[in-house]
Amino acid sequence: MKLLKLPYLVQKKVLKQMMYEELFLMSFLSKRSMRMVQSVKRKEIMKIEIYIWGAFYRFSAGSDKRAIVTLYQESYPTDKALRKSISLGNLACSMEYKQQVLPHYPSLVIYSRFPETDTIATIVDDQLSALFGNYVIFEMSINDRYNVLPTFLNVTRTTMVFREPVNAHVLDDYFMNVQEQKYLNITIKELIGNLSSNSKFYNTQKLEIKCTDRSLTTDILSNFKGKELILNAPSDIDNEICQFVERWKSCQELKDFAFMQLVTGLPENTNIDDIKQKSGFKDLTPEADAFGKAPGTLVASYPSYVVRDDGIIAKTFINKRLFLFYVQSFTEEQMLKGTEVTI
Amino acid sequence: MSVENAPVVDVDEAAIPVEKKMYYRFESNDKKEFRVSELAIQQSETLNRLVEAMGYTSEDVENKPAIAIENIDGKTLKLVFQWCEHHKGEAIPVDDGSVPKIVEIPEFDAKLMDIDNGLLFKLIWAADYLNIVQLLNVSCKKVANMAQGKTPAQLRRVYLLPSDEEDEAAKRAAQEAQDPRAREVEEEFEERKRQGGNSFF
Repeated sequence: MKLLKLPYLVQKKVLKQMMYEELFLMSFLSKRSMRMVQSVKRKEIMKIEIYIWGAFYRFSAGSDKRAIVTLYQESYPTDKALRKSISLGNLACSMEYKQQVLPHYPSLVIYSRFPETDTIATIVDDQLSALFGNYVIFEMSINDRYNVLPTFLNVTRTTMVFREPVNAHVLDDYFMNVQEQKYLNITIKELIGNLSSNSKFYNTQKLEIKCTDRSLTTDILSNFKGKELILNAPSDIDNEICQFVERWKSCQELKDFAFMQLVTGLPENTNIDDIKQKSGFKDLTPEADAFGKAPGTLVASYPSYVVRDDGIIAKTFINKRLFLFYVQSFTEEQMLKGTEVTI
Repeated sequence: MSVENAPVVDVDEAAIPVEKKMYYRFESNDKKEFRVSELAIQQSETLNRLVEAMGYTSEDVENKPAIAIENIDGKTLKLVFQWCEHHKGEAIPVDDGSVPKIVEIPEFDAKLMDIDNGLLFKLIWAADYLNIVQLLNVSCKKVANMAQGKTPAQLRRVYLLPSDEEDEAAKRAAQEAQDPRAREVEEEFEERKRQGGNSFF
C-alpha cells in the first residue's frame, strides 16, 4: 500500500486511526515518515506519563493512560521466540506486542541490554517529544532508583519515591540536568549528605515533600525559592519556620512565594506562642480575614497575619500540628482601610 | 456497452418503499456501465450533487448517455456501487474532529475489501473522489490495521515507505530530469576534486 501516494487528507485519516505505538515506530523510518506522523496533530493525548521502576520504563498517554511503549531489560523472562529484532537510534534491541496485565490489551514492549535501557528510554522520549511534544505535558514518576536518575529534558512535572536512603549528589545531578520543575512530589526516607544550596531542586515551583530527614527539611525551609511548598516534616522545626517567615518578610527572596502547608511529625514539641512572637504575628479580625478572601482556602478562617517589608501580608494559621501561610495580593494598609467601619 | 449488457449492481427492492424506483446509469473510464439506485447514490456527496444538478427524469436515464466517471475504472467502481447499495439509506457520519477515530469494519465491508492492495488503493482514491465518507472511513481503517504488530522494517514494506537515501535519490533524479546539465556539472566537480584541484573555476 503506497501510503505516501494517497491524498494528504486521506493519509491523515489513516494515521488518525493508528495506535500511538504504530505511529511511534513508523516515525523512525525516515525524515519524511517523521514529518508525516507529526502532521497528524494527536492533540487528544494531552499528557504523556513516564513511569520508572528501577530499570523498567513505561510511557503511557491519554486520559486512559494507554501504554505506548514499555521498556524491559533483555533478561526479562518472556518467550524470546516472540521477540523481533529492531534497531532504535542505531541500538540493537527487540520488540513484541505483549498482552499487558493492566491495562488489558497488547502494547509495544522493547527489550534491550541493561546499560542501554536508559539510552533507549531517552530515544523513546525524544521521539515522542518530537512527535507529540507541542501538545502534551510530560510527567515522570521515578520509583526506587538510587544511582543515576534518568533525565528527560521535556519533563516539568515529577513524582519521586525513595524508600531507601539516597545520595544527595544523585538529586543534585538530576536537577542540574533537567529544566526547572513546575511540580515535584517527592517521598524520601533519608538523604545521605546535603543538597547544594543553589540546587535547582529549590527552584521547583510547587514542591510537595514527605520526608523523615530533618536536615533536608531544614535545608528546604532555608533555600526554597518556588511558589508553593507542602511539607510533611519529621520533627520540631520551630526555628526553621521563623527563619522562613523572616526570609519572606525581607523581600529579598521568595518574591513569588504564594503558599505553604507544613505538617509536623512531633506536634507536642511545637511552641506556638514562641513562633508567633518571633515572627511578628498580628491578630486578624474576622472582618479583616474576610477582606479579599479567595475561594478554596484550606481552613475556615485565618486568625493571624504577618506583614512583609513592602506591606504585603500573608494570612497564617498555626496549631500544634499544622502551619499554613497564605500570601495575599494586598497590603496591610489596604486590608485595614477596606475593613474600616465608616459612620 | 448497452444498458442491458451492463454489469448491474444488485438492488435490494424491499428496502425501497417507493412504487417506482429511480436509478441512474454511470460509466467507468473503461466503458463499463452500472445502474445504481437513487438511494445508494446519496452515500456519495459528489454523485448526489451531480445528479441533482442534472435533474434527470426516469426517461432521461433511459434515453441519455450514461454519466461518465472518467478517472475510476470498472473494477473499482463496481466495488464502490456494491458498497453504496449495501449501505443505502444509512446516515452519513459527520466528522466531529474526534481523535482517535473509532471505526468498526462491518462484515460486509471486510469481505468487500478482501482485495489486493492495488485495488484497495484505487478504492480509497475513488471513495475520496466521490466523497463517500463511511467507505473512506472503513477503507482507511483497513489500511491503518495493516500496521498492527509490525516492526519498523515490516511497516516500511507494508506501506512502501522510502528511506532517507531513497528520498534523496528520488529528489536528485527529479532535479536532473528538470536540468540535465546539473549532473554533468556535478560529475565534473567530483572529477576535479579527485584530481586534487582546489578550485572548480
